[in-house]
Amino acid sequence: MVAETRFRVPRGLRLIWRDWADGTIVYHCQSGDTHRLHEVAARVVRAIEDAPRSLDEIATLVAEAAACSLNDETRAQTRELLRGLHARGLVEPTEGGGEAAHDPLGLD
Amino acid sequence: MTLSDWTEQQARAALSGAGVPLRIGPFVARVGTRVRELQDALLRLYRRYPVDGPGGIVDWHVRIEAPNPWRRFVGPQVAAYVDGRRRFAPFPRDQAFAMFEWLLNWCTFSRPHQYLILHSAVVERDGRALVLCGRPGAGKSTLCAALALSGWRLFSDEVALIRPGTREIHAAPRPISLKEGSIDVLRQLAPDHPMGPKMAGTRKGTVAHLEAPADAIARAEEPAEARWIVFPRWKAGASTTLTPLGRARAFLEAADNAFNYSLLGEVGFTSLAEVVDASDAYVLEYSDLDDVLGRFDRLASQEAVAS
Repeated sequence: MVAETRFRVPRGLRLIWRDWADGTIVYHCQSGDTHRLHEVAARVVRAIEDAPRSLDEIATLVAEAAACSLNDETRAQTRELLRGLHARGLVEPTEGGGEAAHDPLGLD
Repeated sequence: MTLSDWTEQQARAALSGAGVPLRIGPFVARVGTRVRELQDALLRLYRRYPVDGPGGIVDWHVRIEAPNPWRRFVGPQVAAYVDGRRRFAPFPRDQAFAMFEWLLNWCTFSRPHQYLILHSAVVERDGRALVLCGRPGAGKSTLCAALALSGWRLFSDEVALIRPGTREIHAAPRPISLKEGSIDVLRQLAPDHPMGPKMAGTRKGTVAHLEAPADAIARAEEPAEARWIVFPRWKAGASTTLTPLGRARAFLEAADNAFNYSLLGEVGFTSLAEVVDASDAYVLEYSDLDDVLGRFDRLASQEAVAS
């Protein structure tokens, strides 16, 4: 049985947040990169920072934040969002919350 | 004791010899040169600067000298040295003062990492700092000079020195560098204010330096809290507009104009965030200097009324 892919903030990574009316800035303490996140992305990363989340859980969050229904389009947008966050080292997929997944996004 | 307390003979002898330890805000630069024209400019534009005592800590040893006696009569040049090491390609001798100022800029931009260093001009009024942030050519120095001659205290025309863990900006006032048309603009604004030699053909065109106001030098050890961050853009014919800028945008723009944001890592991030938190940010577009000065006066007055 394949463990469900869950997404987490990379182990040992510390993020520093700053929220302002026109956006959220987050500092990635390992890379030294600074990112400006829109509201939905910030909510997703913060939720994942609290605890690993499944794709469905994240898609639900995205739908709530965007005030739209959870459907195939929302799930596709969630995948795109996660690809972008992964490319920036802000999230990583894991197999059941354990080791990092071999498939970069573990979405299949 | 300031440089003007020395006799001319003493000052020139010291400059030609071991150098003079000049205190410039939080820094001490031991300045030396045997180039007479540069000595003239230093005695004129740095006369009010404190001379540090013997045995004090010197941050930078800077010298400008003629490196090659054979070129004295044909294309004379000067070379720059920091801490005994030659820096940069030689300059024409008649640009020695410009070279000296750019050398001090280089020291200030690249060395004092106890500060977060933004490429910006800073002036202060009533304990509140106005940071004019932007790339070369944005009009920071011209605006800074006009403000410094209109009731604002000059902190610097080149850098905002932010002390980490605070919202404080520290002053390092030096002669204000003006280019091309700005020279005549400031001449008209303050015809009696001392200005250094006009030097044509430099890498930035024709440049001249306005002496830092006496008050700025005397109070250089008084920091101020950040209050306004402004990104100026001079545009011919433009009416003055001061448009509020969101703090997230302001943060990224300011970080982009920082010399050592990446080097400082987390400290750089939190320091800049503190300053942005404390400040209102604006984009300024202008062409009329008098009009802009009035706008900033009103900004400062509103602040004084509100507090």
